[in-house]
Amino acid sequence: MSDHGENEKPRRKMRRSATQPRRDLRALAPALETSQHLPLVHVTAVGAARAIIDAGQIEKKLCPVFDTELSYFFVLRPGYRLRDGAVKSDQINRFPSVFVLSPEQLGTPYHVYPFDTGGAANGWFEDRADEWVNLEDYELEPTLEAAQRHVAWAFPDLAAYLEGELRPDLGSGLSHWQDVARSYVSIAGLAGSQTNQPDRRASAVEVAYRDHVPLKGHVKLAVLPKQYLENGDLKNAAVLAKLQAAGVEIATYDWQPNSTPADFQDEIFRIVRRFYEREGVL
Amino acid sequence: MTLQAQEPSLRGYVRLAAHGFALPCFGQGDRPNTWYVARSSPEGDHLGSIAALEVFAHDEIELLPADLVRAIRLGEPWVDVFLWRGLPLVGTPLEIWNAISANAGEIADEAPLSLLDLAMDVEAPDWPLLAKGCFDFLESRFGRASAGAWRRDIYFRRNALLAVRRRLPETSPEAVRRLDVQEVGDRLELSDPEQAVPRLAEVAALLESDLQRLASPFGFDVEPIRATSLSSTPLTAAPPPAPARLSDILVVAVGTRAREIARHFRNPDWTIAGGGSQGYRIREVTDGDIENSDGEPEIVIAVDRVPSLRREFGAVVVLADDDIAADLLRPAASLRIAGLERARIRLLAPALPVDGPSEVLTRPSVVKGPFHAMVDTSIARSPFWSGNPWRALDRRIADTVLGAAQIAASLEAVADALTSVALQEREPPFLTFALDAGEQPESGMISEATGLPSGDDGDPAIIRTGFHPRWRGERPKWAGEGVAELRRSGDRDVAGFLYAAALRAAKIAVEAEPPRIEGAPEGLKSRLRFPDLAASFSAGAEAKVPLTVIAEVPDLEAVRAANSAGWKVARYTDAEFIGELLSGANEHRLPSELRLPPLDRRNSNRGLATRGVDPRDVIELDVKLAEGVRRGAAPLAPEIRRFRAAFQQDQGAEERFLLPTAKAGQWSKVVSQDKKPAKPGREVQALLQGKPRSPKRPADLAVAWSSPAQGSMRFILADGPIPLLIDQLEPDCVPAQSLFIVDGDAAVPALFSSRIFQVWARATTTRSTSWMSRFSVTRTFETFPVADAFDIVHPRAGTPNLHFREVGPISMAAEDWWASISSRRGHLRPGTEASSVSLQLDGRLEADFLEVYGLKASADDAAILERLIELNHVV
Repeated sequence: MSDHGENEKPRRKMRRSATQPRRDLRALAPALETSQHLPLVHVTAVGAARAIIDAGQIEKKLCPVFDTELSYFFVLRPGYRLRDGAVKSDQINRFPSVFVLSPEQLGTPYHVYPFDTGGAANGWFEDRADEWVNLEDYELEPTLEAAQRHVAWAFPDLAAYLEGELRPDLGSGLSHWQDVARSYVSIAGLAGSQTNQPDRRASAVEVAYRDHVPLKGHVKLAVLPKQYLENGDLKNAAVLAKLQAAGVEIATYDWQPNSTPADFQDEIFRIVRRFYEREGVL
Repeated sequence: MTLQAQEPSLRGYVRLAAHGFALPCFGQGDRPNTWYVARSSPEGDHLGSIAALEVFAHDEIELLPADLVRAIRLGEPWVDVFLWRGLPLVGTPLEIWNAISANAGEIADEAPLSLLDLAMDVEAPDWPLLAKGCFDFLESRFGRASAGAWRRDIYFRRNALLAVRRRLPETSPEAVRRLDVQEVGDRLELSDPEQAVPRLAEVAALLESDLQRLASPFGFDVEPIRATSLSSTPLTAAPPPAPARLSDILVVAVGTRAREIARHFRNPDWTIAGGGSQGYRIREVTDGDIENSDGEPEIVIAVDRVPSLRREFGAVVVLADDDIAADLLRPAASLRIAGLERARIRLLAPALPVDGPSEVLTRPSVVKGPFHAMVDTSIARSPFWSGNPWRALDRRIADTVLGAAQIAASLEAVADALTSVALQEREPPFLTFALDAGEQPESGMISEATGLPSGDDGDPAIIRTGFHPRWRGERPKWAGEGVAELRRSGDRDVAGFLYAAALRAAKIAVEAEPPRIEGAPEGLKSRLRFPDLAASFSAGAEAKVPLTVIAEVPDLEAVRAANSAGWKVARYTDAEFIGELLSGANEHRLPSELRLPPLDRRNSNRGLATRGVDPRDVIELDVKLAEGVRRGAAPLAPEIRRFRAAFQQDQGAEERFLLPTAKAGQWSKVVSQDKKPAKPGREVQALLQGKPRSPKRPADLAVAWSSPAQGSMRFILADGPIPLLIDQLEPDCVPAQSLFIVDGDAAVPALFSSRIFQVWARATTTRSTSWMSRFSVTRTFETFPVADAFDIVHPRAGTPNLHFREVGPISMAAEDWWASISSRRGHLRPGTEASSVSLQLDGRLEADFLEVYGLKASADDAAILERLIELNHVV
């Protein structure tokens, strides 16, 4: 998931801060009583998913942006980029797989950001970002509650968050000095349908952990190509059967070599949305 | 992402799993540096064709062994890589099926889902069993819920959407994906909750049979997609028609194209003298409404249904899409119109496709089905058409169908021949006619289907007879006596017709006829669906450019194939292109008639171009009345706008003003309460007469009355001319409907004046047999891919606008260029039109624009169009 550690084409990257971050985005989110945390989503290419299934866990990897070993997730949204067929994106676009997790037993996140930091560090949002706002300025409080509060502030409801549609009046109440928030609103607009470069990562809330995340006990849904259900890959089939025995729901989409990435993304979105509806999340 | 001018070969693949379909990868040379993946049309269809290639980068591309490398070309059938036990097989689904059939049992045990995909594509006899086997396989391993999810989300949904894509290939993939496929009890339901596919109803009957095929292995039934469907209630025998009146006619239209044409049926302009009546009325019937209540002669139109009948018709015409027509001719037709055999005269009218000839008309058939003859609908496309020259193709076809039906029903000689001599013909004969007033009335009866009489086979006519059309009104100037013919479909000199028709279309005088030459490039022929329907001659400056005219609209691949051999290709109706080529002008242009793949409408472009106001939504005021309204109705004053009536401003004309009818109507209501309304009030009331109360095109009206967003200018673009005519609209001006509004910065005039947009506009313009070409908001502007160097801003309030994404050398050059245009226009002598200042970009800016689209400065029109089509499909 995300572009951490990937060398995509050179762009103006969002700078790391050398001074104390401002973090005024944190103050905007309303207080919220939550009894349950929103599910987390890990999107990756099928090849990596195979390794995850083999290992039985989503493994942390060295993240060059934060120079720390981390495992990455988005809150609720299976977001990945479709445009700019750059090197590694092709692998996710053509062979996506998705894991949906319950974060209840995962402990405290390492960090929470209101967008994909890998994409930001790689300059994907450069056209919209205020160049005087540093990456850390956007950081939310490193709790799942903060992620949820941010979603409640920026989006009319969870269904709108899933689609990347911000509150229409979000920017209008902001003063000029609130440049972190203004810059966020501008970046997050990239995920909506009103842009010619929609990128669902631009407002997908990112949560990172410093630990490996075992599938068992955490993963609730795995969305994989239908071929994973067959016996041709015996090991996968055996692991899947074990996962299912441990309560993981396996959903499959129809992987065809001549379907477009947009087709896969639509189908996966449909499956994940229906799962949320059934589980009462949406 | 780019499209290769020279197609690569299938050289590698990325495996998803150790078995089943892999992702085919294409490249040039033994170890390609750049890899491509292909896009199929329709999407996800293994029986589709290769529509485009996209650059692809992946760490795990495996090379195919040299003996499996396969050359491919765009437009050819899709080629798959299928893995079994880790080893690749390459080919079309049928080739792969044949290669694995020995192992089918083994594969069915281990990879039944992959095997089912193949089996359905090749229609293997036992695919229904395999489908059921897949369900059992999944149920035994993962439980009933997983098996059920597979059946609903993959088996039913994927195949149902594929059926829609095949039936409606022009529908965008996004729209098809918004359809819903559900299991409701033991019934399968396809629905369109968002109304995303407006033409779904047109193919409902066909889709239901596709769905039934899917549903049958599981014993499911199919929910009707819509209430009405083809009924098979028989035509019943009835008393003979009363003499001395025109015989009633029934037209049954079946299929998508037939339905389009059926919309154009109107009361015929003429009837055959001696009928003893004032003419026909036309009536489209719904279920059960077939009785002729007052006995007046009528033409009954039944679309996609055969109604329950209680009376006899003088002639029954079945207007059917090509594939349905071919099916109807077969002895064991799958679609049967019950009772048709009992009708006195039965005609089949193939619904002429827009892009090419009718297969049924041009490929000799040895079966006639239940029909006496076929109506040659392709005379509607001929430049020798003898009917009303102002009518567009579909209306011409509709006129042809009704004309032929009248002739068959009312001319005894023709009816007799149809029911006697014609029956002895092995192939179905053609029924055709002409109304030409010229010296050679029969030229209106030749077409791409009949060709010229070959001369070797004697007279093709079984019967030829004159008739005297009686016109509803005054006889039009173009019309003469009628001549009808029933002719054998034997030998045809179609090349001779194409040659003559191309010269006629391009208005070439007989003495300037270019010399015919033999043959056509093999590469071109292999790209054509009708390679035999072609004629070649020398064109271009000093007759040095060989040109092949064909009967179908060429696609880009055909044009490329011709160009690479030093030839040109065009459909015989492409008057603009052939005319220019014969006059030696512009030899590098693309044909005006060019078949494009389905284009996506881009969400980001929505609202960028808007048509000017619909005249029904406004009233036009002169200076005096505008002044009167301003004084008499202060609240209306801010709503008054100056009218830009056309691109070419009439300098001498008095200024005109516009007011929305809705606003004027509100004021008028207040005024009408006055006992003696003032003169402006009365005049406005008079102008409102006959105008609709609520706006016909409210969105256009709102944009026209709005101001551009801050930082944007408002431009107007004239509809149709290429190169485009563009001007900045003065504040408080509202343009006429023949102009488009686009807001933005200098990017607007620069991009829309560029070669890139000219090529796109020319290729996407709506063409008509009778009227000038027109741009369309949806086809010309919403499909146009705007490069990343530009940004379409959608403000929360106000109209979308086009800007350069960043300030840089290109945006500054464009601004300088537009400033110099504006300055030169500002210094024009009074009375000189703005369009006299050329909008041509300088070479540097043109090259910069090509570069931002990923094109070289030397790119020809074909390369530009290919790139734009490719970008259009980028999500």
